[in-house]
Amino acid sequence: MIPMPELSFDVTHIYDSTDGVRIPLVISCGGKEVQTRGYVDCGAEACIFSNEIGRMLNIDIEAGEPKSFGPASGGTLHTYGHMATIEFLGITLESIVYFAKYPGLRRNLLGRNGWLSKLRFGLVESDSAVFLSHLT
Amino acid sequence: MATTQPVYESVLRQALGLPDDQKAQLLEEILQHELGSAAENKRPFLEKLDEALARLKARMRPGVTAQEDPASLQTPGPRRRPDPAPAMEWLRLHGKDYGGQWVALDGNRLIAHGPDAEKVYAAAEADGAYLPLIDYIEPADALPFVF
Repeated sequence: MIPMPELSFDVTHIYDSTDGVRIPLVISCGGKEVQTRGYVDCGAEACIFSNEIGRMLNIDIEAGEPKSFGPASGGTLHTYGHMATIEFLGITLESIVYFAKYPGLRRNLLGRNGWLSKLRFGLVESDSAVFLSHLT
Repeated sequence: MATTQPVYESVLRQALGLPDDQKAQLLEEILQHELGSAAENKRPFLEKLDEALARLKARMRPGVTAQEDPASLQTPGPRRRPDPAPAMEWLRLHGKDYGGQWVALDGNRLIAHGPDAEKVYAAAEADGAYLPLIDYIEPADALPFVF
């Protein structure tokens, strides 16, 4: 048996078990802010938000850093990266968030770069619980 | 309305010229009057009125000056983020009724909903609620999501 390392976290969040690991957040960019929700996605390379949220933030989306992603289902998701602030559960991160070029992305994704990479993250799916600490 | 503007300005000047204790009394009376006749959509206005009254009362406390009081009208601090829990609970209970739509929520109050994100956001801005939760609700028959 390999002993489990002892871990401690600053925040616990119980998510809706019928709905996936979704977290309420406030995203700020360019002086505007929007409260919405994002799904934790360990398989996503980066944080990707919908075009609609970018428009609510009044961002010139296509002025950002262009980056294309290859979803598991195939095809290409074209996005543009912008520096943004993401606040959730008492934690604040400055990260590059990629906004979809086109409307219709159903979910905002909190991925590895810019989100998971800045946190200590624990998940107990059977308890619908996530555990988080900001790595400083 | 142009004809009422001079009257409004005159009343405002008189109100601003009152001592702080009388300003607080005036705000209190307006708040109570509005509470007595308040429709639910007046909540943002009532909250702002209540905050202004609290700041004024804080400024009137002995030994507290405008500079020292962080809640002063001159130096308002950053606003506290709204608690997302009521909106999350509303979404858990009612979200399935709004599949395929964007919703804007002020706590557990539905401000607007519809398939057009821009229109829903515009309605939320017009409502005046502070930082409403805005999100898209997937249709019940949507295929499971894999990015």
